[in-house]
Amino acid sequence: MTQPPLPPDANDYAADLSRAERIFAGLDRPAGHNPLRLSPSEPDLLAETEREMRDAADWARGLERVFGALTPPPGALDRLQTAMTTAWSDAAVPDDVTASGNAPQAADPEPTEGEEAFFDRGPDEEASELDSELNPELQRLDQALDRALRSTQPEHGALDRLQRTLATQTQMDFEPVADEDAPPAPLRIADYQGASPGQELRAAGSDLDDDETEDTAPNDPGSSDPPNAPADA
Amino acid sequence: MPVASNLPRPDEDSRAWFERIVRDHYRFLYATAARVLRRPEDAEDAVQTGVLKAMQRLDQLTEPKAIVGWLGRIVRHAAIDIARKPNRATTSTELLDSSALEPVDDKPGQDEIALVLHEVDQLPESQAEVITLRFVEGLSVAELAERLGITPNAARVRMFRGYERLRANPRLRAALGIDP
Repeated sequence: MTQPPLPPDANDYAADLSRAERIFAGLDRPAGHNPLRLSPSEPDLLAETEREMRDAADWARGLERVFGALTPPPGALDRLQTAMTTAWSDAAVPDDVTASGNAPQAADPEPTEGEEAFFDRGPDEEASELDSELNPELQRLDQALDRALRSTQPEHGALDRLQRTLATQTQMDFEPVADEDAPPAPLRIADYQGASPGQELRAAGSDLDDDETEDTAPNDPGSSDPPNAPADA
Repeated sequence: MPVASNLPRPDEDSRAWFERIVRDHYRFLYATAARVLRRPEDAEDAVQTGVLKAMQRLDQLTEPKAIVGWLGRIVRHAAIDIARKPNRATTSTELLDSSALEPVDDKPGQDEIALVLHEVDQLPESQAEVITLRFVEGLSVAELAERLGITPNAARVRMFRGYERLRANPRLRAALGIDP
């Protein structure tokens, strides 16, 4: 199969391409000719860049030469070292500038003995201490509650039994003491058995701070007692 | 990861670190003082005063990696203070009004040195410190950035801008013997 004939100007094109390559390679470039310059009126960017680089190099050499000739008086550094050594004893220099780049910070105050004892304890120690403080009865109650909450199908009557246990336990733990300075006797859930859910809710809110209950516990109309007053007060 | 040369090494306390920085960059500190003061002994005094002052205020240095620039600025202020004293030292400016520039040869004359230092000192401080450090210690852009605790790009921009200002100064061009 023969190649199709070249177009009439193809040879010229190839010749131009070859010439362009030679010009860019610098073989056929006449003095002062820049192939990137399309017309004589355009700035000669190549020549400008060359001039700029040569000038920058001259400046760098000149500045290097001047700064290089700048030498301190003989023994100046030794004299400075002596002055520093003498001055160190009077200078308040921090010793804790770290390699991390952090600025020196004010030291934390030393912990007191009590703080030290507290923070030295491990988590297990703290947990066992808390456990021993808990009333065994409350622990059993806690376990019963836990079982009831986890059970998806509670045993028939489990809730009633739990409620009875809770009422009994609460009564036992919070029996009022005969002390005039003591705060009013706390509420007992048993006192509210049979009360309406709204009343129970208000009773439950009695342990909250005033700020929190102010807007949520309105007085009962027609009653002189606040709704969250103890039943036996 | 290696510790940057201007930060304390693990085995260095503050004193060893500070003294090493001063030793390593003494010529930079001296050149910084010499930008303001012409007589070598005055520049030496300024360095000593500035370094001792910096030593007492080391706890005020918030960025240890920027200690070189911080020291340079304190030394320059000390040099200005010396120049302002009643029986003050000769400043680099005075020679410009009185002395003819010496011919440029291989070794620059004192006037040429003083003129260049004076012109560098007229640059904004951030540009002057980069150019001084670059030509006194012969550092690359990356090294400059590391010594001054700035980014390489910031070092490059400061150097370029300072350089352009110097090149626009015809008197300096003539003093350095560079063709216009």
